[in-house]
Amino acid sequence: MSVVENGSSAPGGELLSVEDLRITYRGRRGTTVAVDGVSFGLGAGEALALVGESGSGKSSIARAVLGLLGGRAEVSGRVLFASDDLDGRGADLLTLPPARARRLRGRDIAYIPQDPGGSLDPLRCVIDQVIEPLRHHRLGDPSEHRDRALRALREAGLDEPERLAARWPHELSGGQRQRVLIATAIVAEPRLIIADEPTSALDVTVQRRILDRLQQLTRSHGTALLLITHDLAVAADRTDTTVALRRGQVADHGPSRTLLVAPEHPYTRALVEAIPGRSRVLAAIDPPEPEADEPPVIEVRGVEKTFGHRRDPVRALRPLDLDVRPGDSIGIVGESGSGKTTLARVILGLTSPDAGSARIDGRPVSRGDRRIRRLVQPVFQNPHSSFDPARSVGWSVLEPVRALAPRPRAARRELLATLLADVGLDHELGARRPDELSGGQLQRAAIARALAVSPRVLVCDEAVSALDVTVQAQILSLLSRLQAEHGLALVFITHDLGVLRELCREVLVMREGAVVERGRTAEVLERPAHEYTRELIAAIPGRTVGPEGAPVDTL
Amino acid sequence: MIRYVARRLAQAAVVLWGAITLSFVIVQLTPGDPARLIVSGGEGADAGAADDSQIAQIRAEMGLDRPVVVQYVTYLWRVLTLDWGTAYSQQRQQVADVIGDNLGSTLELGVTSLVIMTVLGVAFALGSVLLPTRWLRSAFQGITVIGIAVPSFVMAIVLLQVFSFQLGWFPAFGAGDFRSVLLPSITIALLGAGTLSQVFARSIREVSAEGYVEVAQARGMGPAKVVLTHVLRNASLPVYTIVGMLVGGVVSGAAIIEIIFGRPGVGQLYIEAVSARDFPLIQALIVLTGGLYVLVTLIVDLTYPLIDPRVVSPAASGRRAG
Amino acid sequence: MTTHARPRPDERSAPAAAVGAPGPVARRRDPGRTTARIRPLLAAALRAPGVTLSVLFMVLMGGWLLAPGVFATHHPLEAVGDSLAPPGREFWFGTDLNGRDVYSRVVHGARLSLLAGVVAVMISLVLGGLLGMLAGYLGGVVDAIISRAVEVLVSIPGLLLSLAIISVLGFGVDKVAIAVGIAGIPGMVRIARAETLRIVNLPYMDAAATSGTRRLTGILTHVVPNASGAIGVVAGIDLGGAILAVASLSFLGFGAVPPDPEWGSQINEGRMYISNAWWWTVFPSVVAGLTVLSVNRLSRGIGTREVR
Repeated sequence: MSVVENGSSAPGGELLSVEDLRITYRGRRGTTVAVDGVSFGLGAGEALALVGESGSGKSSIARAVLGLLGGRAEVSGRVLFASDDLDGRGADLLTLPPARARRLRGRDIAYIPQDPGGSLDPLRCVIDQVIEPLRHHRLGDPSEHRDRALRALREAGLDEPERLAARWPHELSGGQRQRVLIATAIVAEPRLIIADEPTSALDVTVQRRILDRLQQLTRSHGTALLLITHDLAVAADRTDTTVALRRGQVADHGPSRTLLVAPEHPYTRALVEAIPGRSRVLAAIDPPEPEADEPPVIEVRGVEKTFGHRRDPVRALRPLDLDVRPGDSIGIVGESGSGKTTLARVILGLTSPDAGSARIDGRPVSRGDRRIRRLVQPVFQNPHSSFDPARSVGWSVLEPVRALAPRPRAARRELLATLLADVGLDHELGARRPDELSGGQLQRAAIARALAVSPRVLVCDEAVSALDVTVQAQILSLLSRLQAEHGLALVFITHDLGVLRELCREVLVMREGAVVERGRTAEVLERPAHEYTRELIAAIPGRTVGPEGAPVDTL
Repeated sequence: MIRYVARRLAQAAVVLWGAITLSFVIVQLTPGDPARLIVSGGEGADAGAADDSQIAQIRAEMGLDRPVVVQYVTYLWRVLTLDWGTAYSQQRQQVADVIGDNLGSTLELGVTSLVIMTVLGVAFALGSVLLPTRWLRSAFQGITVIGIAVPSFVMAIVLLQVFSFQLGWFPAFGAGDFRSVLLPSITIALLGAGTLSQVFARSIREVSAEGYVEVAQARGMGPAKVVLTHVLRNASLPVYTIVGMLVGGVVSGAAIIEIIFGRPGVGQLYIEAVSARDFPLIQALIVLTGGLYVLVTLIVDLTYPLIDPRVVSPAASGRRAG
Repeated sequence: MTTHARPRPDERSAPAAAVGAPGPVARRRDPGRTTARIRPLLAAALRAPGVTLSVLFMVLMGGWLLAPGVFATHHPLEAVGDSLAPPGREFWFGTDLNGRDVYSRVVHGARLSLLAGVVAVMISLVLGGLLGMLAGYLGGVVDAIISRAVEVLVSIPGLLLSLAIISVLGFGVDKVAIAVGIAGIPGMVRIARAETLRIVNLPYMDAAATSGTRRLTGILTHVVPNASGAIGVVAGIDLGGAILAVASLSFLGFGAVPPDPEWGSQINEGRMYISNAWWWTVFPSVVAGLTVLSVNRLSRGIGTREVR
């Protein structure tokens, strides 16, 4: 196996060899260079990760191998694949006649896409979709297809595949759908599997299981794996080699573990730094200790909420109590269905609980009470949908001011300038529309909006989950600084335990509407008491790599 | 599933009831005296020679002097028992008879139009998305626009002029053999095919951008096979849901086309009735049209789950729970 | 703390490949806006000849509507030439049976046909939009009632519903406009309701609530501006349909009656003479068709540009 930067050919014996690949897209406003001279190689049975943030070109490379680039793409270079019915080094997938290339795809090269929700034909049942590659490529005896498909489903981690065989995709959970896609990929026994961020749309614990299964399958079948991911830690856990991409070029490469533990190249170092659990910068931040004798600024007592119809109720929150003291920082962790978002909405006054009450600074929270808004403010998950696209960013940032603490225009403008500067945004960005700002910039503006009326509590609901890794770290450190400066109580909701470590003093673990564990963050992470907490911790990528780069046994 | 069927049936009944009520309300809202308007045969006719005894007779026949609630209940009953009254503008025949005489011709026209419309609409849609040359695709797209922009009567007049009078391929008037139904049907079909093909074409484009289409390509299926096995079925769904609207378009198109081509039928009957302010006839035809629409959408809704397994429970109202 | 000098939106991944076509049919995204809205619009207009032609044509129609005397060559109601004279230098569109200039009649007819269409769409827009937003925002019983009522109205095809309303109101162009407007209400209600439901569930409505914005203020400042894009597109397309409907009803004799030069009634007048005086029917038809085409093209063109 060899990895070469922007250079000439690699020695033979490789399954997949990408040589000086260049991809540009022709758009309305000219051409964009997505991939600029990338080369790497992958041997049979090996696992290689392409790591990079959005815009690095990693997805484009995968699509080039799969033949999914559209007519607007111009490609040069070579993508050599060693196939059985061709001798020598293999055929260049880019120049093969389409019919022959199609014969390789699906049979020798398999694809696992990112989004399980949209990747299964909603009108076809599960078993038909798993059989499809066999039928299309006419592999083996048709009477055996069903059995092979069932076997593949079982290997992908679905027990009792016969029960699921006749189901429709919309009846399956996200994790189940992804396993179906894995089954579809392995059923034809390919030599190479390309998995494009196969788990980013799933819950953390499910992610870990899926990746485990994928790793095990590829090792046992001797299948090569090309894993596309934005997370270096995932790459370190699951692959042998990593190629780090930046803006279409290879920035770094090497054994995955080494890259994670001892990165040399500045870009790789930045990537590692951005992983919240490993950030040295963030580690220097200590969440402040709250005053011991001050009354709690958030008081939640016996709050309950059930959604859904009579016949099909969903208990989002079982009776729950919570106290948060001024200046404290609390993390609430859980997966989908844990009730964490509902709890956030109750505290914010967006959802009324069926029973119980929430108070901020002694004042009861209710949907109609506008003055409570001066005390508690949110930062939502997706910055682009939490800003009105028809208004300028500055207008939205000042919305709470206009509604709750109006002042003359000159004073408003001054306030806006201060607020934007406080979160590190250039003054002129206030005049722009939301779609002109990046996710990170917009989230800073969201924080500015939240601080506009000087609240006492900030509720962040997955405030960094939708952002790139490097940006996540910036936002987290910004939040930490602002919290200290303004004496805010911070309620930080996330599904990712790794993010909490530096930011939150105390953490609550929620599951199916109830709190299963609570305690100081450091203690919970090191000595988890509840089994579910242990699962969550194990699901954090990068846990298999110890400080020296040697593998570590997880649980 | 049973709940779904029951719900749809109940909904259908409500809409039908609504259509009947609408037809009742219309007459009630008429400014002036409906009976007088009937006698004077609509505007334009000599309204002067209104015979008071005639008006009184019509008022009695239509029950216009009884309290509104009584009228309504009586009306409901009469509609459901198919006692639709007298068509004053049609030599006082029974409304039911008059409609019966003319229904067959319109049915023939309607069915033929729908068949041709489906064929043309699907062809235009496939052409405008799948043809290899950009020029050809734009051409097909352009044709669909014509179907939408050209007034129906203009289309009819033009086609009539060209194909009947000039080329003599089709008979111009009447409803004789099969050939006489072709040209009117093609006219109606062209108008509806435009809408159908636009909806279908857009649907094809949207489905083509879905994940599973890409996945199918990655599995080595060629473009033709992907379209056949994955795209077409999914793309047909939105088209299926507008069938009711298309049928409505055919019905209203039939009205004008029957007049221009001189065909007998309930469409031209309706227009005559409006001209003559023949309320009983108008009411009956409104109920009939509404009933047809309800029937068609009911059939569509009940067969839809056979195609799309996702639709089993009643549709959510779109509100977030909280 | 970092300061970003130039905004750099996170790059999106490669556009999805379309099936079968060499050029992908990916959806277009609106490019970012700079503060001046006019200049990019003009540049784009020049790149799209269909839209430009439509604009020019509509400007001409506007002229005919507002100042027909300026554009017409003769008096529309008086006999000024031979009966059924073919198009020539003096009578651009020929003359009709009574010797009236068809061109001048078409010019004057624009006011009748277009204005009636505009009035009809206004009625649909205001009433339908209001009802739709109410249904979407309030939900519950209000939504149920409005939605059922819409279903009932939809069960009768537009033209036939308009005719039924005509039988109640009586004949005449003004009544035709009202009838067409009422028949267009269900369509407007649907789009207004759908847009309202969509927007109300978006996070920035939550953000408005937590910012302390009152509910009514929230609707006016957030829902209306964001919904008006899609509603406007539908209204534009409805305008084309309304003009057609008005013409159809006049064609059938329920709208303007001769000698009023409404397009539909002119087409009706001329159709019996189509073999020896084609110009009488054809010219008004062409003008009507081009108007509907232009209106449709414009509303769709503006729609794709405004969609976010």
